[in-house]
Amino acid sequence: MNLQNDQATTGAEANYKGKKQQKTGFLKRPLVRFFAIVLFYILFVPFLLFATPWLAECFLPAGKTERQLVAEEGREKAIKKLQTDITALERKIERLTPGNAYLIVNTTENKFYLYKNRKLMREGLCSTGSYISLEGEGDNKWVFKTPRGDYRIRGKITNPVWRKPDWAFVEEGLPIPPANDPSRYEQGVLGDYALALGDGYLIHGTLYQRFLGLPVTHGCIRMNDADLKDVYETLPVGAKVFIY
Amino acid sequence: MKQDAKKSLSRRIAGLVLLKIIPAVLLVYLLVFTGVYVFSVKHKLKQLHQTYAPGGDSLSYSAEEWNLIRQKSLLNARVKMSDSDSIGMTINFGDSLVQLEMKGVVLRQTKFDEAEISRFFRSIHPAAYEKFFSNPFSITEIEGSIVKEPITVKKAPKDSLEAAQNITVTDTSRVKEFIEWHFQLDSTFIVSFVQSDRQFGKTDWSTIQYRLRRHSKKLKEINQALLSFRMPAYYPEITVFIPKNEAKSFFRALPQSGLVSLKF
Repeated sequence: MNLQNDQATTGAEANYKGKKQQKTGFLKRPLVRFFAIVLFYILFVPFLLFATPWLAECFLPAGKTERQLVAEEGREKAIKKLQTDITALERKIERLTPGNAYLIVNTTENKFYLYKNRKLMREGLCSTGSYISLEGEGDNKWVFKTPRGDYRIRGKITNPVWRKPDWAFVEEGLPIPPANDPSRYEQGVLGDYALALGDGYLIHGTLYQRFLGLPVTHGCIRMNDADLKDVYETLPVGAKVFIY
Repeated sequence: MKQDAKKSLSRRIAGLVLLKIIPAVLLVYLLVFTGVYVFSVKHKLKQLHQTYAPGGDSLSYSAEEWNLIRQKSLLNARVKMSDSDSIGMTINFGDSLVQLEMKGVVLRQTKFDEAEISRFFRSIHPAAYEKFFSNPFSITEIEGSIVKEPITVKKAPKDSLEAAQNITVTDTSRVKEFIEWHFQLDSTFIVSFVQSDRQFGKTDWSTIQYRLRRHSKKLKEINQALLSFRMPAYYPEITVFIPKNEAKSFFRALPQSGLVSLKF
């Protein structure tokens, strides 16, 4: 009797275990479900940001594809008009580029490009504004950056003399002298030539040639002697200078 | 025993909340969000077509005419851009060219090999395209992984002795920075630039901060719209991969409200 009961119990247990294994599939295992939910948490935000827009764009209609490779008779006129308009617009844009000499200065890379007759004549390193903001006493504040935009050569000077502005003294910890004090004038620091851009900004030479290619100036554009000579001789007064 | 029972109950509640309730809520939110977003994208395209080609576009275009329409639209935009005093940009996806321009003069030009363009732009029909892209777009927002103007503040020295001690050394350590930036045009779509030369890797901390700022702002705007039962704003995106030097120069050169012309 007991043996029969034991056998019956063992059989029932075995059935139960079998049924339990059938019910617990891979996805229903607690650990798998846990990691699936953790993955869901991790991917939730990226899905919102990236997958949803991509999915939404999949529902957009495809572009209006070319229905035919050859134009209909009526469209030939339209095509000819388009071609004429394009030619006129291209000519208009071409005329905007100066035919004579102009200079382009890249203040991020500290490089210059000299063009003449729409061809690149010379390129090289220069130095532009350091982006230092000098704070003096009271409201005195100067930001040393080379302004961006298009300018014209206002004047050309040989053997320029530097008239030191107030910041040159403040920077050295020196007292600011009167406007026409002789200490304001310094020779030989601007190289052999200078080209004025207006508002006190110049293209000039430098004693610190090892700093060319770096943003170290107080706003002016510095070049080495050979480049400066070429730029001076090529750019007439009124020539355009594009600074970006 | 009581404490064990309490612990067991709190664990069960935590398990229920974290493993069932919150995921269920998030799943529902995700489904609603996706549905509304799909609608928002289609609505944007429909709005664009209604604004720029209200009569619809039933014409049949040949490949040649379609190309000419795109070319003419770009040239029109460039001519209008040349009237402005500020630096502008032209992106020509047909020729894979990006260039900086000022008053119609090309200042810097670079080719790109890789660009990711939203399908939205290819869904615009020619009549709407011509009107939409014949005018330059204005930059409404511009931000990047580097600063636009790297200003260093320096206090004026009290005397020449202090000036001699405080010599400013030019910082060249930014060679390893990773350049990534974007601008929004007319609050309508977004163009991103990423440096294509990957030798410095993408683990730059300022790049990570920039991406976190950008994506969290987007997420915040979308959630605010959804929670106030409004349609979330959809901004089709374009990503262009250009060399690092150009990416940096273009970012620093473009003004906050610069103009941009596009051609697809």
